[in-house]
Amino acid sequence: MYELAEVRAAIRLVEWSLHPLARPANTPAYRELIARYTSSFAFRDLVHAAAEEWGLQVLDVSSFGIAVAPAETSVFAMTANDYRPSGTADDHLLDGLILIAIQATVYPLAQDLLEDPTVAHHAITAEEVDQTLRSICDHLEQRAQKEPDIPLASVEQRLHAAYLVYKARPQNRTGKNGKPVSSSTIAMIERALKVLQSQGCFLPKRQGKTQSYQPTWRFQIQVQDWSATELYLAIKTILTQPTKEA
Amino acid sequence: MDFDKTPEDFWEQQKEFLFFPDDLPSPKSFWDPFLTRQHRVLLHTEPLLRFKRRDAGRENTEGYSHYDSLTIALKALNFVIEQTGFEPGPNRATVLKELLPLLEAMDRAANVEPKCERQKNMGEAVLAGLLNDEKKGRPYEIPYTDFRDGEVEVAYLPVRLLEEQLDPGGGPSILVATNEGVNLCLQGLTLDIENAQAATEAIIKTQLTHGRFYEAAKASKLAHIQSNRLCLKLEHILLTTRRNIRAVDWKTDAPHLIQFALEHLENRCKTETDIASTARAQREHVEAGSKEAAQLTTILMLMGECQHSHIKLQQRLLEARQTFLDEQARQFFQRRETLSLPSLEADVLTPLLKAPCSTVEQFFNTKISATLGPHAPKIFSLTNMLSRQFQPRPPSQQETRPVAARTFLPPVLVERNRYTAETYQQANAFLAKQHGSKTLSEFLQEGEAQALAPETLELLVFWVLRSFDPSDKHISLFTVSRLSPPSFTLGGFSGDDVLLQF
Repeated sequence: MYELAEVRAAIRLVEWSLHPLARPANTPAYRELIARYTSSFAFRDLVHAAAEEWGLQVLDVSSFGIAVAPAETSVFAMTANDYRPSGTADDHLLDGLILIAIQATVYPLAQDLLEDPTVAHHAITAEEVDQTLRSICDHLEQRAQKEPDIPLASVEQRLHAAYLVYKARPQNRTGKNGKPVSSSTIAMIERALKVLQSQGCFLPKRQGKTQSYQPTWRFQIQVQDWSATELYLAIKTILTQPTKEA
Repeated sequence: MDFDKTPEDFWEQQKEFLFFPDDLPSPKSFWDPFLTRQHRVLLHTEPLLRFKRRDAGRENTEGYSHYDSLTIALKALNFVIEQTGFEPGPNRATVLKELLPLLEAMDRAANVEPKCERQKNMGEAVLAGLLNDEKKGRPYEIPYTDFRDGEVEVAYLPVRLLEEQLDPGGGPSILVATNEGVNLCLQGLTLDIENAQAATEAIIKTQLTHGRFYEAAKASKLAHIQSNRLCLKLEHILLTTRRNIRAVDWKTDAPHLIQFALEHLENRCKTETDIASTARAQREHVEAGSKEAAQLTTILMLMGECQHSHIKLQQRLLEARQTFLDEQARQFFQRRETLSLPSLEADVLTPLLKAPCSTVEQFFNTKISATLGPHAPKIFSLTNMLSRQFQPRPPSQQETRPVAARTFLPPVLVERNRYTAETYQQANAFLAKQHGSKTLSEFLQEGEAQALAPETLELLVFWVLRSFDPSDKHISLFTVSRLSPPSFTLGGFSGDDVLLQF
């Protein structure tokens, strides 16, 4: 039997995972719970059980804090509408592509995912993320042009390919006030990076006029230990299903 | 390094470190695997030698040609190693600060006017080279020729001397020298850290007994750095075990390492106690307050710190076996994906961009949370909703495109479109004849009696209705006040009767 104080402490540690900007180094109460987690196996099991009941999976606990991943049905899982309450279908589509492109810009190669998550990655800019997406779009377009004879079903599928939506969206249209229009891809990427910053995944860095974003331990653990595999498995499943267009 | 050993003994010792049992050269092979190891050892200096080549390429750059970037790089690397294990860890800014006097001296030696901006640029360029900023901090990939089964093969050696690590407190990233970087600087490239540590302590003892205090103080500083690195190495194994037990070989490597480390630490604690007692004994023979006494005190302090970190590590190691057993019990039945790691660009982003929009939308409807992490949902609050509703309306967003000046239509009286000018004339003429007060029904009866057109009567009724509005200044020929019922019905009009005052 666990003591009530022990159970409360375990729930408090899980609760800290939902304060992404808090750091054990600056918060003694948080630090004490992390120390208890690393020193007591019984407490660790309790934390994992508490997290599981909330629909969360503990990814890692270290001096950087506690990182968790929400199950798909968890109340803590963000939906496309949470991310952008209003917007067109194209906006939602581009948001998703941008969020994955951010991960791919930090981790372009498979072996990068094996790195120590405490090693600092280079800061990324919105322009670099846009470049990642546009270079793939250009490559796909060139490849499509080189394949002249394709079945009708494939033609229809190609006409509705997601990369065409991204290509059609202006990169950096500025408004009358000189600021990028919110529907331009650069502005959408900036927005995504700011949301991730509020989630404790990036730290803003300014070098001269360039605004860049440094991935944090939380982001690195999330991508390396959960997100990359989760997305890959989902893509494998969804792309093998028959589509409406097909 | 043991100075008492003969060159033959030393060679035998080196062979033990450099060869794995299955690597031992076969007499028939024309390429000795030892040469490959030698080759790889030499290639570790390549990132540093690149600085020399860069200097040659910078010869014509005004103001920068006199800097020796290899010297600056070595200073930077050594400073980072010296600061390892101390709080706060070194970052780009602190290393740069440490390099400035060196750059200043180089300026003066070359009769170049010292400029802080230029020195900073040079220091940053050297750090960027050490960290391989050009390739976003990835290791240098150095090609070399190898022979496998008698065939020539081009292989790549990844070399990283310095890397940036995240600060748990959220501060700037901390610079850390890698094992290769440390070994390169501590002149022990072919030795394991553990052996380099033993060698350093043997050196300190010899130096102390021969009265070479300055060298002993320097060497004991080195010993402390190595002790810290050993702590980090072993702690990393325990941490990796907690994260994923399968990532550590607990069948042979880890138990062997832990056993070795326990014995090693026991010896080190003994050796450090010996060094400390030798230093204490020597201090009694030197003049109090002298330079030698200060150096001996430094050695004593460093030995104390070494012992402290070793004892701490020893406690961790004693718990290590239990850590392994508990983690094994906890992780053994956990579901593990046997997938190879995906490339986010090639295996995730590209297939999505290529897929039809409907498929991608369907994908993001369920999987967007995997890109954002957990998020505490906001709970509805009536107080928040009310305060939001009472807030002033936010200013409308500025137009993003140039807008043409708007043209407004001139104000017109809409009635004129419905009633003709003649109707208005008739109505005005009828009103002009009125005086005193009468009810609306009497007013309309009189109009009917004078054979006014139905449109004129309708217009008069509208004017009466408009007169109820006190702000309407258009009708000022009469005032209207309500009467208590009865109501009236007359011709096409019906309603409450009112009193008109002309």
